[in-house]
Amino acid sequence: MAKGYKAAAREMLASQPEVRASVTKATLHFHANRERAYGEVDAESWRDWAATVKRHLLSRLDHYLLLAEEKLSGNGVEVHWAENAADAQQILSRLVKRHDVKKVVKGKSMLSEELEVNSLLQRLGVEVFETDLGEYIIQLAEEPPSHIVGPAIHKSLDDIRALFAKRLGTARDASPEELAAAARRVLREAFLSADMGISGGNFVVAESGTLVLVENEGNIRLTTSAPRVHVALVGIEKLLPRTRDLEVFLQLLARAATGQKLGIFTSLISGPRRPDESDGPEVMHVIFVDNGRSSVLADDEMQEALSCIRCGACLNACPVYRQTGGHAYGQVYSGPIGIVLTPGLKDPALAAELGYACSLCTACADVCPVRIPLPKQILAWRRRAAESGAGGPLEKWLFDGYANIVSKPRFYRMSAKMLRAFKGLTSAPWLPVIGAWASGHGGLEPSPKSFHQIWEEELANE
Amino acid sequence: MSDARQRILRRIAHALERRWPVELPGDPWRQAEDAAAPTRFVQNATQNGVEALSFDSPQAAARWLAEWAAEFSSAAVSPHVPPWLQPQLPQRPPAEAELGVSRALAAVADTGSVLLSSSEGRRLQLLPPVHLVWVDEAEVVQHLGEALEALQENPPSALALHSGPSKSADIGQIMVQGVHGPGRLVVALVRGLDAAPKATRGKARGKTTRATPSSGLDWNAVRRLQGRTLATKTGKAFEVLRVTDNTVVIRVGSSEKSYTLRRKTLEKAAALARGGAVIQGPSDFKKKVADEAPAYAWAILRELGAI
Amino acid sequence: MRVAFFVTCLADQFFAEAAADAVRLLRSLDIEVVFPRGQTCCGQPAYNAGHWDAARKMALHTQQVFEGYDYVVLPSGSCTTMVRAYTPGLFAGDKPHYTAALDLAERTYELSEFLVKVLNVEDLGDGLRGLKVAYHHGCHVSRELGIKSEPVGLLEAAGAEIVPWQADNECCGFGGVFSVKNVPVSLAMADHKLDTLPEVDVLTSADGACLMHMGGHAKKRGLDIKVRHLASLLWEARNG
Repeated sequence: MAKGYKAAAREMLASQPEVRASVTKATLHFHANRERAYGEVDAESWRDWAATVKRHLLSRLDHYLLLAEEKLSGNGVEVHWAENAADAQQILSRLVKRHDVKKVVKGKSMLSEELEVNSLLQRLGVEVFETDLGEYIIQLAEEPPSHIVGPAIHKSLDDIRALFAKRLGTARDASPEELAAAARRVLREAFLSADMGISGGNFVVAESGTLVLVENEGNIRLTTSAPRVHVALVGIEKLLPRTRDLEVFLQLLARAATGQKLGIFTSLISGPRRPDESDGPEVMHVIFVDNGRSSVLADDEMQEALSCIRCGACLNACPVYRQTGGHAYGQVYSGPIGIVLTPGLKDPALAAELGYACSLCTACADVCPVRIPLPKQILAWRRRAAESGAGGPLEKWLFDGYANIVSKPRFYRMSAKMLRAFKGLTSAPWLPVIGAWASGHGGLEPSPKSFHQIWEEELANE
Repeated sequence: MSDARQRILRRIAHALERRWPVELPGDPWRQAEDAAAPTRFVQNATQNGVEALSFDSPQAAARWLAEWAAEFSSAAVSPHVPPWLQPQLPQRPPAEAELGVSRALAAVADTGSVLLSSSEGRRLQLLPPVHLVWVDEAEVVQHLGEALEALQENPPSALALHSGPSKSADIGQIMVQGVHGPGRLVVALVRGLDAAPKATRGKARGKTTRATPSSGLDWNAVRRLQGRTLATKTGKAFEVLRVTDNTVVIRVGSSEKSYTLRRKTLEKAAALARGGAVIQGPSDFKKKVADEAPAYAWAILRELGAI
Repeated sequence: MRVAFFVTCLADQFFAEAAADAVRLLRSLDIEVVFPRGQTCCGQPAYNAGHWDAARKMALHTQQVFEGYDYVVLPSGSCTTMVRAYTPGLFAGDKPHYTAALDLAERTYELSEFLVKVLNVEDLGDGLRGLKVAYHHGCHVSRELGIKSEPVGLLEAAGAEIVPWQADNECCGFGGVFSVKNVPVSLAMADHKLDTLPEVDVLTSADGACLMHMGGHAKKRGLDIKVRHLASLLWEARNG
């Protein structure tokens, strides 16, 4: 985790080439599904609309948070506020103690990764089960998720067969159905015996105090239905103003993430079990978590990233992400949105490396359902990194030097002649920049004559 | 943690100080209603992997059910399902039942989804491997927003949208169905779902309220009757010999004849009573519920205060 | 109509003949082409690397060099995008230079776009009869400027067969500074392009840098892939 992107990516491509194959296959599949699904509706108009709703929400976030708090409380939900991961962990520890919790089932939540909930619960002696199949796989493998929507997409069927054979005793050649059935057996038992279910929150509708969760497996519904206590971890930016906003947001999320019309299961939870109900949690808590979000909100160039609905479309569209998967980024959030959010949530210095884990192809901007200007924001992080001298003195010297040369045409033409005179040097591996290029391409091959020369000798006279 | 709350809100307010609020946009684009809602629902739900069916009467639905449900050996049935759409199967708790049966609040054509209320029980919607959901054809709407708005006033504690069978591609991107939730979702649209069929054996009649209330029959209370001697309205004594999961067996003292009363029938009567129907005696029971040992069934329910 | 030709630094050094073909092509369409000698680089390398002061310096130089021409035509999609879509943003809050940047942006065209949109040329000739071509859509020109059908249409009209390529609009992995900062990832991206490339006579693009990246890496891998700049193919369409 401590390793920077550059080294981690290099190592991953060298030592785990199969990850590239798995991730490429999965993301291209997601990407094609999204493209088809966008094509079935007026996606452009929905994206404009959804982007505006989120921008509105962010521009009045304090108002909507207070409204949501009031409505949630009115629904019988206990609301907590956590400024950072330590706060959230403290709140969770208290709840574990208060409700005498020995076993927890978890629905997929990226925020819980930010807050390192699993290691906290283990420290508290609580047994934790990730219940999303992908999350369960990586929990067994003791790895963090590598993708917002498909946490285990870096693993092939064979990887999972070997893992399950070792941990669950399934056959070495078990089918995906058999593997899923094995996980289901373990987790079904966990659902029915857990004391607490922990979920994230895709949306919270402020006007009604409704927590909205989207999934395909049914594990989140079970997590929020079976145990006697339900705790939802919700980023403060996850609000929507109105119930009616869900019509578009739920469909857009599903289409952007996996190309579905709607997630298979959507839960709209407006409080704990009522007296006349036969099942459901007796108590419900919502923890609103800041953990750097208010800093991002204060950053004019980055605040739009808080519109993110965690669909993963930008990861699927990103050709850089596709080569390594999410682990190379060394952060909870990877891909384009990870590059933009991570330095803002954690430490701007992280942009020095993360900011360059991007070829600026802008494919992410083309797909984002809430039109976050990701390439522009990545460039802004680069600008800040360069301004702070993060690239090192050599890089600055090179660009300043280049700028000086090209603003003086005579110098520029002279250096064109040098390029040809010293052509042999361009395959020298020890030269900065040029050596890096040569390693994958061989030496530079300038045209025999520059265009300037062709113009003067030939074209100017025609 | 109220300090944290204050600090977070202060930071947000500070961040927003210099910004103009962005206006909320007007109404979003909606899909074209190029066919009636039930038709579009069936198309879209089918695409999602739902086994979607339509029936033009409760009778037709009940006939289909009788045959279809034969492949299962047990069911967990929502109290919101009217008696004529309950499968004739032994009842089991959701964790053990092979089939869960729900009554949807509504369905959405755009997305092929059904809306389910927690008031019928969350587990029966999730734990059985197959989930049958009844929807009144009149309650299928075109757009999700319409359905949500209709429920806005008084939403259940957990409203769930189910749009297909539980699935996951987390194992090598190969689609597997039935990971945690039901691997089969069967949605049946029924025209006039709440109108009791006339011609079924039970001759059930009368109106139930639109949202059929739960039967309210506590089966454990029925179990406690085992071994007790009760009397019919006309004073004929009978003994409750045995109470199983799905039946009550009684023996009439004077004739040594025994009768088996079905749980389903008793629940149906209790449900009707909870819905406001008055069942004054055995003949009323025979008319309104079923011609199944009405004198004894009525006496049992009377004893339990269920009618 | 006087057209200033902006060869761009990369084409000047590495695709000089293709750039010359672009001039020949424009002249064959009776366009008066001038070549302001003071021109150098649009500033994109520095801009993308985050060194905006250096980028501004280069952009200002470019503004001065191309002042007053009706049209500025480039044989490079990504440099066109720099001038059109990115440079004005470098001068936010600096009104005179921002206005000048917008003015230049309005007069600037990528070669195939200029042919189709300004000159209304859709058919250059049939000099590419039977040539099987893979077309790489450069990221910036296709996504930021929406120039996709222009180059492909001109090639097809000249008799070339554009062979379907699933990755034709995917980034090749060049990305300027990216290709030297994250070499293995950049090359893996080129590998994906090359590994999905269909059987063709030639791989082309409006972007020389992408062609250098894919072509150079193909050569290093020992693959026999012929790479030609779009400008050369278009000239061949007319002249061949």
